[in-house]
Amino acid sequence: MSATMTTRSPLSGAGLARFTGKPGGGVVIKDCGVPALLMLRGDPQRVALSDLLTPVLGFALPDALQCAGTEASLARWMSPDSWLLSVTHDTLEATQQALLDALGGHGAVVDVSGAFAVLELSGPAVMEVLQKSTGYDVHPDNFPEGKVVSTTFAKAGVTLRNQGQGSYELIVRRSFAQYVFHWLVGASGEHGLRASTE
Amino acid sequence: MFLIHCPYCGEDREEEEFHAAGEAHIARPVDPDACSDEEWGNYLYFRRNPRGLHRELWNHTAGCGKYFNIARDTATYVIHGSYRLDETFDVPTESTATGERS
Repeated sequence: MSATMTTRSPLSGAGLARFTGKPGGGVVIKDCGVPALLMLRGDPQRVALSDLLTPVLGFALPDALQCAGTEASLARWMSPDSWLLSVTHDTLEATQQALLDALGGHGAVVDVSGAFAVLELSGPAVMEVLQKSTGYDVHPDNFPEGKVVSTTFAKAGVTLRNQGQGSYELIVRRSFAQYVFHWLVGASGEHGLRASTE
Repeated sequence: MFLIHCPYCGEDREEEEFHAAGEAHIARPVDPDACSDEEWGNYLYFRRNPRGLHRELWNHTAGCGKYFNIARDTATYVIHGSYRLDETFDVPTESTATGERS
């Protein structure tokens, strides 16, 4: 085993570069790179999770289908007893330890950075592509900014978040990342797909 | 294709997101050592297959991943309601054409 480890995005071999710098583009896709994700589990009916974790996180854990926090530390509701927390790579280990200490054994905080790929979708035709891809009603009336849903996306499962300003976050199991990307290439064909690196 | 209400997500979602997990409310014999082979066999293998109201266990696999119960009519596909495992649910009598059979 080499002394230094290099990490690369689950989409690094998918060929996003082909779509970089394309003019126009009804759909803009961005590979967010290697994520820094913690899966937080605890039963709020047995443990006062909010009391324990709010001092560490700086915000209360979100309720069903919501997210809470800041861009640098954002918790997404996944199920009644689990939340997916995205942090930054330099704060990952410290946050994990602080959460574990706060929970005192009444829950789990697992580094799941290697399990997921994170994509961002935007562009004028993003709604059409989302509507093709998932059975969930993504109309802003039903899926406003800040809402988080886990649902089916093509034949994969994703966690979708409306980030506002016409931008959507897709969190997908890393083994499905290339499949979802290739699906998006096809689904965006009529609108034009552009890869963004910003 | 029909919509199923997930009591944990609090929303109606596509059937595609769910997985059926068989009959609900199957009680394990309190003392397995004391029950007869017939009782144990019925508990392990035998399931009701009613025409009409049926209570089923479903899993929101693509969503929150939780198991919950559904009261569904197998003849009309009407879903009378879904409820968490720690809840009870009484089907309104006027809405059951075929009634609940045990």
